[in-house]
Amino acid sequence: MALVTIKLFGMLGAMAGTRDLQLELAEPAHLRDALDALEARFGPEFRQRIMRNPRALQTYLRIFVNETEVTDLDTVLQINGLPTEVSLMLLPAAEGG
Amino acid sequence: MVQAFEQKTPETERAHEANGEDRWIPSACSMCYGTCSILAHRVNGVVTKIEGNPASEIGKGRLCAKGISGIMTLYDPNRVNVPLRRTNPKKGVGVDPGWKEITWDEALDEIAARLRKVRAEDPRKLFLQRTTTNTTIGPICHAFCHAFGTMNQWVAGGGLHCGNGAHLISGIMHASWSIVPDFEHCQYAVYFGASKGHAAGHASCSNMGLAADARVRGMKMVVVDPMCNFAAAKANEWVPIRVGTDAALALAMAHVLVNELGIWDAPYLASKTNAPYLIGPDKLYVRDAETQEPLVWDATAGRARPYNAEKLGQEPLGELALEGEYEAQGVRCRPAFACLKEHLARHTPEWAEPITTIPAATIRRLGQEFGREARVGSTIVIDGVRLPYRPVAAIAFRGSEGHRNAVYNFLAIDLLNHLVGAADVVGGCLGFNPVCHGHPETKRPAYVPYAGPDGLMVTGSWMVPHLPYPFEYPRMPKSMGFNELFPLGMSSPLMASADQEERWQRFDLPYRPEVMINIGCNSVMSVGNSETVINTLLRIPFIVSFDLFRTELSDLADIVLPDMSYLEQLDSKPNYPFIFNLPGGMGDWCWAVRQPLIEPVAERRQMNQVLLELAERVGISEDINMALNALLKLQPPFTLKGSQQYSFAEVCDQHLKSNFGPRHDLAWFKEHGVLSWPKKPQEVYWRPFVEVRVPIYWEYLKRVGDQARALAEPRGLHLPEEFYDPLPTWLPCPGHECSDEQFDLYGFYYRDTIHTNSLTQENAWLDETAQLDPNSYYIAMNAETGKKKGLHDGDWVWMETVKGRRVRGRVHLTQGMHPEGLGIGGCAGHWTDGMPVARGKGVFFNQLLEIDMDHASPVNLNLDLCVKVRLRRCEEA
Ligand code: SF4
Repeated sequence: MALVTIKLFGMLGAMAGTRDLQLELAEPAHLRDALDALEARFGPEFRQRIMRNPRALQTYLRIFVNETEVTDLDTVLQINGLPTEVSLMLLPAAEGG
Repeated sequence: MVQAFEQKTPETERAHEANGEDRWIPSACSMCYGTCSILAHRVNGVVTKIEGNPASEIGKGRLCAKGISGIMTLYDPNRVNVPLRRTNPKKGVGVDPGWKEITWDEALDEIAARLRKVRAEDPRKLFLQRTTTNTTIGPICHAFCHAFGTMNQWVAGGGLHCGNGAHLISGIMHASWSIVPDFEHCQYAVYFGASKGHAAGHASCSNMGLAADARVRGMKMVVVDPMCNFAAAKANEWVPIRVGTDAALALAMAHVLVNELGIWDAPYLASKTNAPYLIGPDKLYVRDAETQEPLVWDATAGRARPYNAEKLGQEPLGELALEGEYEAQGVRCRPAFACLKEHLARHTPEWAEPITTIPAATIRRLGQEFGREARVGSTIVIDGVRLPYRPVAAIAFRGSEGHRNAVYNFLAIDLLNHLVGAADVVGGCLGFNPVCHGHPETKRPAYVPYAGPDGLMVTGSWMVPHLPYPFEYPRMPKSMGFNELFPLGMSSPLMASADQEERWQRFDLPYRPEVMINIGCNSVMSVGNSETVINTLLRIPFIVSFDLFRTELSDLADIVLPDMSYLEQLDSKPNYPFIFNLPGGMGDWCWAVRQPLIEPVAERRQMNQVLLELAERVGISEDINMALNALLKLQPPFTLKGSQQYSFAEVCDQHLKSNFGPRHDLAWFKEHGVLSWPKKPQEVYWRPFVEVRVPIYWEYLKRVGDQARALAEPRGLHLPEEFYDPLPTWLPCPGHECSDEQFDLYGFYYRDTIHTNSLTQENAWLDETAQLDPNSYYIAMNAETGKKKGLHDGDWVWMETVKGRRVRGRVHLTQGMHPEGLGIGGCAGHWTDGMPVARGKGVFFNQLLEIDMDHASPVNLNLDLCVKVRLRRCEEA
């Protein structure tokens, strides 16, 4: 099993009522699997906030896997058994000038 | 209450005297958002002069009157110097707040306690409002809001009629915040209510030099504007137009091009736009049944195929049809260009004449000149690279887009560029730097537009986190401004509107703002009429305001915090993103910093630092670090770690090293001021090199409209369908619909060059200059119209709206005004005693503007800046 630490920042943390959680995912684990697990835990409204459609992330969601920003849902989460930290942050519509 | 300030401590004074200090220090201006690079002359700790920095592309060594005058804001004795606490719980205009000086600790303790409470209840109860003038505070404000968990943030400092429409469409069509002629090569530029290169605005001092050189070189400049103002005065031709009707002129010119002259750039339209996409009877794309991709008509193959057939593994497309009628997926359909061509046929010069008041013959001539000068099909070699050459540009900004019909006005104007292939090619209409391959050593910052859904362009760089395309489809709103319902909008009138509470109730908004953090913005004056804004502010229980001076807004605050002026501040990115403020065209990339020029004065603190401290007190340091990593795109090892506390100087240092390597740290930039490297033709004239398309047919506007109306109409919010048609037309502003003949003039606002909105009104030098200017503090009026009304130059008048709003001012009679126009500059007419220089000067135009959804664009939320008025002579104020 792949052990993945999830950090939900800002509004996502407030929505989920928690900021830090651990997931155990079957290997090989991909980013898509982690997001599916989050939906299972926090419901479809949570998923709506992070997914534009089943194939695409919301444009205002930022995801970092071990500090590197990723946009590909097929990103592999655990490489060589090293611990993986996935950070999710929403940067929702704020306003320009 | 203003504390006399001590600009030097005895220690620093002694040190300076011993050193006999006499230095020129590089930094960046912020008297407007132009961020020109400056050199400040500091003698024994005192800034004695500000000049432009010739080593920088940003300003190219030039400064405007405001830039030179910043020194008077720095040393203004009326600055707020200590935190102030309101003691009078009663709030209102003319009510003494009973200010009491408090310490920073007392202030931050109280603010943090309030913030912790609302964060625990519902983080969306925090509402952050900031000025547009200092754009580089954007990332820290976004970071704070995202970390806190609120989406309720807006920029209210430049007025709601800031560039909602210009930015949206420039982003979608040019991957940039704004557009400008390629001054070095353009031969014919038509300005629609824009002043690029002649007054305030993006990259303004750089553009002034470029525009002046272009005019000397022989670029013909036509300025369409109700007022013969800064750009028109220097143009070859001024075309006076009825305010708010620019789309009608542009569409009629497009009709002349396409239907009368048969001029369009077919290869460009077929390969770089959605012109060949097939449109069905429902006005939507006809899509491939299997892939759901839009279809085009492959004339070589004689059948409909996905626009991206080759990417789908099919054989390459042949010639794509732009005209004709076909059958695909069982429906009759036509290429988008054919729909546009037919649509334009209704928009003749004769149709446009009574709307715009411009003679049909003039419109036809302008269309002909534009088409002839475009030289469709020609090429030119730049730095050894052969490129398309289209030396014409149609430019627009606030004058044309600051209306209820903002989207169509701007779209129609930009359509002229795309019809002749003059978008981001040599001599044409350029976005500001949409492609950057990065510094040669680090390849950062780097960004390139790319193809999104339906092959349409997604900008590679943007000013705010959410992109103009692809956008969300309308959802039930949960934000104060209803941004979810208006995915093409930015600044929303609902943040301070008369119908705010009613709309919130009808849409079941589950919370109300309880804490407002205001950063350098005076929304009481900068949005619309003050009565409406004040009513919304009075409903917010706790307001904190960072200010240089006590403004009309800070008089309603609970705590006022003494901010630093730009000459006291640090910033790692004053002119970034490059799509905002670096001049377009060839030349250099240039990254500058802003740095403090004097020792800290009194209790003033930079708001960026204060927000970081507040984040710590609220317990969201880890969140704000993550938000800053995301927003500044910090790369390991220069990311901000965990919940570690960083000073703002440390954030700046990480940011610079992340972009330019450890050698180019904050200390390097403080010493050298700017880092430059040459631009490549493939970056500047990028359009042929990047595989993206832009929409000349806004199919998704219909889909957005259908969904938004389905949500809004049952809740009593009417969103007229005609604003969501995929092809632009001219739609009237509320002022055009006023039928009361007594109200026979159109009042409108323009950006003065001497002042930046309300920010600079307190500056003594600029005030003196404005008093010498014939227009700055006056109502500019057509001389003939004035004479007919029995008015004389300098007469005092009331300017009144149908709704009974009125302002008093003096008329300046001039031939340089449309007969129906009344032009008022800037945001003057202050009344607070916190700004004694500004108090009682000029005309408060915004007082005439209604703030509600009926006066805003139902597509992108632009508030209309023109208003039908009548004049009545009155006694001196
Ligand atoms: S254009 Fe703006 S940034 Fe440049 S000098 Fe003038 S006020 Fe300063």
